[in-house]
Amino acid sequence: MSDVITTTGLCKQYGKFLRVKDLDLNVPEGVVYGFLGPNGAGKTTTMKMLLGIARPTAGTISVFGQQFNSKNRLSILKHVGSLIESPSYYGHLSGEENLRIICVLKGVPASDINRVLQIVRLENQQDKKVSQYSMGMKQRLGLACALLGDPKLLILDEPTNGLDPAGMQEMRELIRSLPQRYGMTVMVSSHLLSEIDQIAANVGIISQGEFVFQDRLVSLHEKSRPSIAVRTLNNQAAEKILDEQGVSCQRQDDYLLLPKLSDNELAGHISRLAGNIGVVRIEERRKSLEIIFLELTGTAVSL
Amino acid sequence: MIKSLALEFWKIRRRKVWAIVAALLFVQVLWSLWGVETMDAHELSQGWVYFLYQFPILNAIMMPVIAAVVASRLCDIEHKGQMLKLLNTLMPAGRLFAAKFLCGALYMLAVALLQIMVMVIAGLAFGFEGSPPLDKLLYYLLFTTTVNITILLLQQVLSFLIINQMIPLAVGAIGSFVGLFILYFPQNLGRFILWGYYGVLMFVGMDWDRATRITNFHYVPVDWSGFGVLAVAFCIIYILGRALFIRKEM
Repeated sequence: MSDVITTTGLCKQYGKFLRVKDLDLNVPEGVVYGFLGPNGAGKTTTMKMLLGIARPTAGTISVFGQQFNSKNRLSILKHVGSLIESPSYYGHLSGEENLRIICVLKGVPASDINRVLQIVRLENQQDKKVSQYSMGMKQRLGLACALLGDPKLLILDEPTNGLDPAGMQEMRELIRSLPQRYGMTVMVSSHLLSEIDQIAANVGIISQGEFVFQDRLVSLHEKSRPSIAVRTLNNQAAEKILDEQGVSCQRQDDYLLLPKLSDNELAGHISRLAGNIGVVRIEERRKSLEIIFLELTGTAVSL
Repeated sequence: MIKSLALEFWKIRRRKVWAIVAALLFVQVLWSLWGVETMDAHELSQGWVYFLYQFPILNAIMMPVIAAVVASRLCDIEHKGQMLKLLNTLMPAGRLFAAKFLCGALYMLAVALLQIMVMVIAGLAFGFEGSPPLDKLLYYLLFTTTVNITILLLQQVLSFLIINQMIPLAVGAIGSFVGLFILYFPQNLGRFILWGYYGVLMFVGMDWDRATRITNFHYVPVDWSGFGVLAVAFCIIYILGRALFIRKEM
């Protein structure tokens, strides 16, 4: 699977503050890529650089295999839909009139308006002035603008911001369905781990402008595999016995953490320890994704 | 470019930009026609030249405000809905700058044409002596429009770069005061201030006889060097303003 977006050593400096540091981003084709990070981590700045509305201080960006520069930027962006921060709109015009303007700018026939309005379920509100729209409706109009012209790549910055729980869920389902239904690649940012967990196949976690994790979401889940914590009357002796049996374990506080074992193996080791030393606690421990996120970013996760 | 210009007019639907321009123009026309009805034969004989003297003075007061309002109305729609960051991914920023300027410039041209129309209709209706001086009216159109669009350009740059539209509007209001007061100073001083060019490019002089209290108007040579300076100022503001707008990160 080829990468739709690739960045190498991408940096952005504002004054003396390096907002994005040496970012090597790889967004594979045909997936939802979750761009996760705490508030102020540099997600929006990175996305703005991918769209050319902020200039990188250093590094390169390739989109659809083409090196992004000021000359080819707009021709590349013809195949990209975007929604950055809050949705963009003309409040004094109706939703349909707003989309008509984007159609002209994208060179897309006006007949595409009905299609995107149906996708975002805004067809009954299209004649209303956008200033009278709720935040959720504006957000959906923003997505409709991004979907005009059937782009190959969608870059969505926190698209569920300001939506009510039902709207959030609806938006997530819609985003998740886009690669399958329309063959799009979607890069979506969020500070909500649970959100990315629901919609993304690949994930990049950014903290203080730097990547702390980038891989398939499954790999992140693997980090959360369970372990068995055992507390004995003499952990040092217990560790030695287990080591003799070929089981490497880790110490954590007053516990020994055993790796994933089959029930039979575990039962054998526990009875051996109980017979020789004395077992006082046995617990199953599983790192939640939130804990992993916290470990990776050093920042409390928003849920 | 025509597509982008048409789009600018489409964007300002229901914004009633023309209504604000028309209202300000209406005030100006009422002001200029004040007293025309009671003109005596001597004054009627100088009716055309009187208009060509009075309109630039009124323009110095009104036009900076009209230009500031037009530029602000056109640019504010992009700030309000945070459209610039989206437009920047869809069209070259330089083209947006040019289309926006052309849209505003057409309003300013329409204002000058309407003023000439008012002058001609009023002159004929009130029986000014002679036929309308077409060559002088064309000069008036050229000079008024050039000063108008240069001020509009400056206002557009400010309205694009500064989100709070009170600042460019205040600049417009200050410009109208400056434009008026500079008329009381030697003409060369007006050359240093953009808003002073309504006075610099005025091609009518006035003599007022203290003893007889009779006012006589007369044509004076056109200050083409002043026009040249204004044209250069226009180019500099356009190039710098456009570059600043393009460089601006959203």
